[in-house]
This record gives sequence, structure tokens and C-alpha cells, in this order.
Amino acid sequence: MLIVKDLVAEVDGKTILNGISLTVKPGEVHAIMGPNGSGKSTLANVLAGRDGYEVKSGEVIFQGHNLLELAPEERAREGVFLAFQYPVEIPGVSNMQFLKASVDAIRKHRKLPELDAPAFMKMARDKCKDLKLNPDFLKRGVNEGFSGGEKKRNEILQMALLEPSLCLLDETDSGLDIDALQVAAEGVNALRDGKRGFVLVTHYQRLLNYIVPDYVHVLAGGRIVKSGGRELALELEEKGYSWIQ
Amino acid sequence: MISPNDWKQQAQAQTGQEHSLHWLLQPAIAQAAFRAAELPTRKTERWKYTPVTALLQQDFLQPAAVDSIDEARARDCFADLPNASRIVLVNGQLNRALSDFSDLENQGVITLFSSASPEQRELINMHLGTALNPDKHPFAALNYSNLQDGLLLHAPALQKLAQPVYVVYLGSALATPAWAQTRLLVVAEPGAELQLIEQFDSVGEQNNLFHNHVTEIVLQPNARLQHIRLQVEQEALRHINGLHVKLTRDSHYEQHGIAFGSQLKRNDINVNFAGENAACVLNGVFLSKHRQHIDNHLNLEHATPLCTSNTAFKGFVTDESRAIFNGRIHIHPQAQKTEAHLNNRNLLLSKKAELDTKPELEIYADDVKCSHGASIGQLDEKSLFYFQSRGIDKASAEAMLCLGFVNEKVEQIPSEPMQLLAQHKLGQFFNDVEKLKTLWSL
Repeated sequence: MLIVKDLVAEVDGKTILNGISLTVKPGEVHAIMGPNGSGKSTLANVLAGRDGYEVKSGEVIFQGHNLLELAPEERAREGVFLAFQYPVEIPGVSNMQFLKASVDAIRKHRKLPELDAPAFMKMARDKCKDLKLNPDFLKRGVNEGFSGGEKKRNEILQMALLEPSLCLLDETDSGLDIDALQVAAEGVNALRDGKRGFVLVTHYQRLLNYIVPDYVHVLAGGRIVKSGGRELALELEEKGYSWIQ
Repeated sequence: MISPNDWKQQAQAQTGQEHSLHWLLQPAIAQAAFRAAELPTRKTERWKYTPVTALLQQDFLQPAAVDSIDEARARDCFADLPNASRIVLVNGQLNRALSDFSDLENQGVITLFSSASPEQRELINMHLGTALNPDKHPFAALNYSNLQDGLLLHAPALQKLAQPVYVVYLGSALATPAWAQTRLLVVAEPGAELQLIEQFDSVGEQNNLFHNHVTEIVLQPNARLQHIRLQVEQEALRHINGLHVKLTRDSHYEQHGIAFGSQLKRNDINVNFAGENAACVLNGVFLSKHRQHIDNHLNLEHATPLCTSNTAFKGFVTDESRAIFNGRIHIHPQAQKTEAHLNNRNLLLSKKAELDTKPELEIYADDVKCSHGASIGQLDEKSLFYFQSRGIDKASAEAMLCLGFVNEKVEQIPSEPMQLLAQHKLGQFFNDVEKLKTLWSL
């Protein structure tokens, strides 16, 4: 579903990704690990189409589309979802307005009928319950005054509502306590249906206790220096990253 | 086009006419002030960014004739406040058919100056002009020089008015250009509590009215007033508005305002602290588009100790419009233990738009807590990307962010019907009512 080939990308003239290749097949969970500054988050952001990253060479094919040619909103409509490391606070726009606009845009693209407000609200409330979020938080401003855990769970909530085919999770575990991490992981696991692909970006193997990956890749200096199965993460936990570099 | 000097001479001649409220003391004082005043020019610091040429283009110097107004369209402007006392002025004249305030009128809470009892006349003379210095406000001086009538809202001591008082000033398209000069005097007796809603609105396009309005508010000890102000007129209308508030001991004044730009719009908000422990909250948002102009001049005179003020204004400025925010906090030497904060955050969305913001702090006491700040920015790139990454196209994302910016203030309006009306008006302002309606309704 996702083929990344020799991807080279720069930020402010500095090469961050230096020839990344990665293939994600339907249903697979790939964990991207690596030390600070290795390019993990950049990879997630380049795939989602964030401004400020300049792709110098390489290609990204997502379900037959040249992903790099699409605007961020088009990527989202095609089924790419990025769960942010730092979700943005947007006071004045309620979470409900935001989620509805987003679901409307995506359903329209998939040629599905628009959900009326009551049906949408019911769906959103149900998903909130699954993620142990108080439904009142739908009325609050987007991420406004949310705790770290609430923000991350809000990302998972959006993911559940938008039903993407490829989920990119950028350090979803950072800033979460064990309980919140478990809830978030359950949310992600609930979306594992054998078809949906996942790329988890994380520092720590802790998250991988809850979301068990099929593959683990170690990123260093902008390229994948080692790939393996789940046991690689455990080895990293024990020995640190310097062992590989 | 006439010269500023001619305009002033002619306006002055109008004010010299005999008026029916011979018992009023203010006109003589105001006339003297207006005679001595000059019409503001670019050299007048307080009017530096606001030329009054829009007033000189047409001959506004006569009161609007009583005009028939499309009642259904007028009613469409109203907020859904079924139990409020509603006073409607059309082009400056009370319209009984559209109004509904007989209960409060019978109780003497709302009275026209022209039908004031001897006691009420005394009250009006005692308070009118005490919160306002006509030497500094030439248009307020003009207003009080030419006092044909006015509204008195007199809140009785130790009572909470159960329902809001809702005053609607409507302008309509007139056969010939004219002015409407209106004034509202609010006197809240000790311990009184009330909500006042003022809505400045218009019916019909190509409005050729110059509205010159003054609201003067006197809060006696312990009185509390919640004031909601919507200035949402059609953009051809010219409107100069003076709000002058006097706060005595332990009184509490809170304002939530929304103001659209127009050909000429000027808002002076003047708060005079005249007793200890008084508190003032000013919350507002101004919006300008097309070639509109809006000037907000705020002045908080902290002349007594232990008072607080919190001022937060937002500006939304786009197209080729121009907006001004000038917020001044003046702390007098005796006003120790004052706590005063002021900030102005703005979105400037077009290269051709202009915004001038100037927060000012003048402090002459040494034991105070104050802050002031202003910012001018564009839509946040990170927020835009967040929306886009959820499938929302850039144009809709921008619209939602703009709405969010303004809506943060709307959400603070302490009245649901007024929030709804504000959202409806904002929907019209953003020219996309249907789309916004679905957004707001969630």
C-alpha cells in the first residue's frame, strides 16, 4: 500500500532524510525507532505533506498515487492520517465542528452521503466512550486546554472517525502516563483490521508492548540502518541506539 | 463636499435652535464646548487615523424625518428575547409599534426625557454629563448640544432586573441624507443589577445616515451592569459612538462588544473609576472588510485605589479596510493597588489592509499591577496544516480559523439569544451564511 523509495528530504537546506526506503503492506504495523534528530518525525510529516520539507529525490507511492504530488488535504482524503506529536490548540472552533468538517470532507471524497448532525453526534459520542473521553469535550475548542493525554486520545478519536487506510502515529506515546498509554493503544488496536497499515514513530519500546509491531526499523542519520522483527525493539531497549550506529 | 469649518458652523447653527427640553442643564454646557471645539483633523492626535471626510461628503446636517420602515424587516433584525423590554429607535426616533417596554415604563425604569417626571428631570440633570468631558469629545458635545430627546434607564436600588433591557437603534435608507443623534443615560442605584443590550443595526442598503450616539452610564455603589453591544449596521452608514462609564465604589461593569466596520465608524469607550474596589471588564471584537473603517479608542481612567480592569479586544481586518485600536490605561497617583490589564490581538489578512494598534500605559502610582500588549498576525500555519491533514481544504480551513478567532469572543457573550444573533450577523459578514450555519449549529 505504501512504497517509499530512496526518499531524500531537506529542511532549511539541511538534509534530514537521506535515502529512506520502506514498504508497508496492508495490515502491517511498522515501528520506526531511533535517537533524537534521526529524522523519524520528519518522515511522518513528509508523508502527510507538511510545508517546509523539501523532497529532493526519491518517490512515495501510496495505493497507486504519487503521494508527493498531492496536497495535504488530498492525501488525507485518499486515506493517509497523521496523528500529531503536538496537536494544535484551536480556540473558538469546537471539536465537534472540526470533526464534522473533517468527516464531511472525507466522506464526500469517498462518495458517501453526508452524515446529518444527529447521526454524526451519536457516532462521535460513541467513539468518545470507547476512548474513555468525556463527551463534553466535543463541545470544547479543538484541543483547547486539553491535557497531554486528552490531546493524544483526541488524535486517536479522529483516526477512528476518519477510518484511514494508512495511519502514521508520531510519538503518540510521548507525554502519556501508563493508563493513558493503554487507552490510546487500545484505540489503535481496535483499528487493526488486517487491512489498515500503521507506521508508529517512537523513541521507546514501551509503546510496542501495547501495540505489537510486525517490523521494527531503526533510523539513524536519515536512513534506515537496521530492520527486524519485534525482538529488535527489545534489543534496543537493552543496549541503546549507539550499539547500531 | 463642504469644509470642516463650514460643517461645524452649520452644525452649531442647528444646535442653537430652541429645544423643547428647556429644563435640561447639559445643552448649554455642551454648546459652549462644541463652539470652542474644532472638528478633528489629521493633526488631532486622537483622530489621527480617522478622517471625518465621510461626514463632509453629504449634507447630513438635519435630523432624519420620521420615516416609515418595513416592520417585518425591522423585526428580522431582533434577537429572540421574548421577555426583554425592547426599545426601538428608527433613525433616532422612538418607534412605539416596534417597541415593547410598557412594564418598565410604568415602573419608571425606562423613560423618555420628554416625558420625565419632575423627580426624573432632577435625576437626569444630576447625572447627565458627569461621566463625560465634552471638551475632549466634540461629537458627544454636538450630541448633547442638540438634545431633542433621550432615554433614561433608571435601575432601582437593591433590585435585580429579571429581564434584559434591549435597545435597538435602526437606520434605514432615507430620501435625503440626515443625522440621527441619540443618547441613553443609565443610572443604576446602589445595589442594582441589570443587563443592557444595545444593538446598532440597519434595514436596507445604501444607508445615508450619520448616527451620532452617546451612552452614559453611572453605576452607584455596588451596582452591577452587564452590557452587550452589537454594532452590525450596513456598511454605508456612518456611526460615531461615545460610551462613557462612571464607576463608583464596589460597582461592577462588564461589556461584550462586536463591531463591524463601515464607511466611518468610531467607538470611544471611556471608563472613569470614581470609587474604590470597582471592577471593569471590556471584551470586544471588531471586524472590517472591503474598504471599511473602524476606530476603537479606549480610555480607562483609574483615579481611585483598589480597582481592577481587564480589557481584551480582538481585531479581524481584511481586504482594503482599515482598523485602529488605541487602548489607554491611565493610573493616577492616588490609584494604588490598581490591577489593570489590556491586550489587543489582531488578524491582518490582506496586504492592502491596514491596522494601527497602540496600547498605552501611563502610571503615576507605585504599587500597581499592570500589563499591556498587542499583536498582529496572520493565520497560523500549523493550525492550517492540522485542518488540511484532516481532509479539510485550505479555503475552508482558513474560514474556520477566522471564525474560531472571532467566535472565541462570541462564546463569552453572557446571553444565548445574543450569541445566536451575533453568529447570524457574523455569518452575513463572512458572506457565507449557509455554510457557517451548519458549522455553528453543532
